[in-house]
Amino acid sequence: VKRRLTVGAALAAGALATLPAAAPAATQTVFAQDSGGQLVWNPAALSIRIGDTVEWSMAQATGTHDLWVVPPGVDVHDTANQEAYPVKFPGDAPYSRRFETAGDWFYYCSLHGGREPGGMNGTIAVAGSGTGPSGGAPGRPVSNAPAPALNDWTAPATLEEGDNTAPLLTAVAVKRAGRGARVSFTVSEPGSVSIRLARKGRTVKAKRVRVAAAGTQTVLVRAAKRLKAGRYAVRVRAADAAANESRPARLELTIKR
Amino acid sequence: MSRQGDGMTDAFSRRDALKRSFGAAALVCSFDLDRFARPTSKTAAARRLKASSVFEPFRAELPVAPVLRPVKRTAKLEQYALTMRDGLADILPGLETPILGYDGIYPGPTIRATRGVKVELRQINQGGRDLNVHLHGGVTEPGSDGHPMDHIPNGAERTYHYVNSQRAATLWYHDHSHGETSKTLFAGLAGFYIVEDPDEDDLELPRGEYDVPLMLQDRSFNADGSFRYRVDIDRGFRGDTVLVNGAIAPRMRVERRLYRFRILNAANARPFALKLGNGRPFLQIAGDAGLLPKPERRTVLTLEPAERADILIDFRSFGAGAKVVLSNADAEPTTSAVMRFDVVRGGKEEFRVPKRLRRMEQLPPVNERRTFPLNFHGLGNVQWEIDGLSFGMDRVDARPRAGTSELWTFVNNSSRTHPMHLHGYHFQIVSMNGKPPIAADAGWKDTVAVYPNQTVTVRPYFSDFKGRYVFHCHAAEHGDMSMMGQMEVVA
Repeated sequence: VKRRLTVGAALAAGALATLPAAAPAATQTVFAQDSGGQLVWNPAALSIRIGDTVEWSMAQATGTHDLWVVPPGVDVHDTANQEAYPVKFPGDAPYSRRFETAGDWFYYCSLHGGREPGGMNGTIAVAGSGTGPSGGAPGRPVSNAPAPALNDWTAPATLEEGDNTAPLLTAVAVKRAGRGARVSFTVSEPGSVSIRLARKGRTVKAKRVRVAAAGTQTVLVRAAKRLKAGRYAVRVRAADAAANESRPARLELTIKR
Repeated sequence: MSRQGDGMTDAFSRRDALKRSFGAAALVCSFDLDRFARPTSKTAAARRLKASSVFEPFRAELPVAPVLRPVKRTAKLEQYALTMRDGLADILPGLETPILGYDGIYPGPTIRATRGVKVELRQINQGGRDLNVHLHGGVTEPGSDGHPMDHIPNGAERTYHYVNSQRAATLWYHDHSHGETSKTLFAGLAGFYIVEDPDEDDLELPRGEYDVPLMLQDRSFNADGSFRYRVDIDRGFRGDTVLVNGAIAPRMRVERRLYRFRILNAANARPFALKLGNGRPFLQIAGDAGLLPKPERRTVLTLEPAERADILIDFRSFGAGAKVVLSNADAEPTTSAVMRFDVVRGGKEEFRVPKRLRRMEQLPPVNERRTFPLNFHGLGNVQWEIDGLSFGMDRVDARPRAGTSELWTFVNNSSRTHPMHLHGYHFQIVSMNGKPPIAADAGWKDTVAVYPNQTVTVRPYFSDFKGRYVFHCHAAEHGDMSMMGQMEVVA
């Protein structure tokens, strides 16, 4: 841990050390970007030298933006003393401005809350030749807004959990057997099977049996009295432990004298 | 406000300090240090972790707003009273969120009105600012519609009259004060107003505890628990957290049976594209202004701000113990989870899915055609416009004849969606970008999404009242800035 910090400090120190003492005029680019749903200028803080140019690029923009540049010492709400640039759309040519006055400049997009702390805004520290940043008080908004609590939760990995698959009921057959019927079936998972024997819409006998394991099983459904002659509707349905139900199997049994 | 709030402030000020003093390279190291640090509450990392876990989805039980009880009730009239005032909401664990709400609660109480029974709603403004109340989707006389210039001064009160002659529908009420709706809606002024029709009882749709209103919104938060608003005139406000009925992506215990959900997008500007589980089908039975002709199968339900849809979900297609997420397919990672249904065994089903729901009324012939280009004005002071104009309180943009229907075409010349809403009247969608609407959008509506660079034609029916109403974009920041027009329905 300690070594990492040292490396970081060395990196930071190295970056500072490589700044040229009197660099030729340069161009630095700020990108309008979408940062986790919030539209921002990136990087939000620039340090440049007198004579340098800043470009505000729309190449990565996802929103419509305008640009207001606030000179050092001007209040952010004093729009009369700011430079306003017209609206640009994603992919438009960048805004471009050369800075000839040292000091702390502020800039913002008025469409995306740039006049407020935490809005789409940024700073440009313009240094004179070797003298460091100077000029009046910065025009940035006073940061009196409470600190944000950012939601960094990730999207749910699964959208469905649990047993949502109904059991399969196959090979259902019915035969007459004594005072009732013999029903055989194959189910794909344990649970229960319910069987209903009906004649002319009225239930003659209903039975529910536990099924301990997947496989084939035969169940005797015995009525209280001997079955009368006629046609019987037989409905068989399987349910699993999570109460998912199969499609019912519907069969017919004819009892002749 | 609490220890947790202070902790967050510390964490952020430390990060800020690191940024300023060491630059980006040092900041990377600070994260590494945090990762290896022991998670005691003394470290900033632990506090940050604790703070971020307050956004954990599916932890809160779904709250359901209380149904407002009438002050007085007769066979033909129900009288209610509400006070618009400050309150505190429990949204983040261990923190309180200051809100502006109806009776100081968020979301506001639900009003369940009955077709044919008038409602008088006394609204007392103790909100500390001028406010008014708009019954969204309500067919109301102009004086009770909540025109943006017709406000209730702070400290005063007003009784709104709702005739409830319209068909059963899921409506909602919210503030509509001029140029301020984005802020007052955000602060918490929104509630359901459900019109029920005893004639629809024989449809045997789920009711009682199986008929659940869901108000979808997005918010961002400060470390002290307060709502964090960020101006976005371009897209409208986008929060990083989804709230359903005022709770962060909550969970709801449902039985294995049929439920009706009345879903309202009450966000300032965020669209929702709702998906059940891995794309399970559900049935849409109603749109903004009431039942559809028949149930329509949906796998994705898109709701732009202010739109409503009533859906039926049959939880018998899930096993007991199942957990099914309702997600937003059109979202960032943190706004993807909307809510979760935790399925348990249920009792006997007493409701059903009807094959037919209602017969659509015939409209009178088209009397007038109007076109409204929608555009962004980006020179100098930026604003949104209808037909090149911002809202003018002394200007009337359309004078339809009462009892007629018209064709209104919205041409979106911008890169943002505009959910266009008409006060006082309902319409049918004729075409969306040249094509007829899908069946689920073919019912009566009061808000229609006009997507970027698309054209939508609707056919409003200027049925009941005469007078002055507004029509506007319901992306709240667009409506406030200043995408709103006026119509005066004349004899």
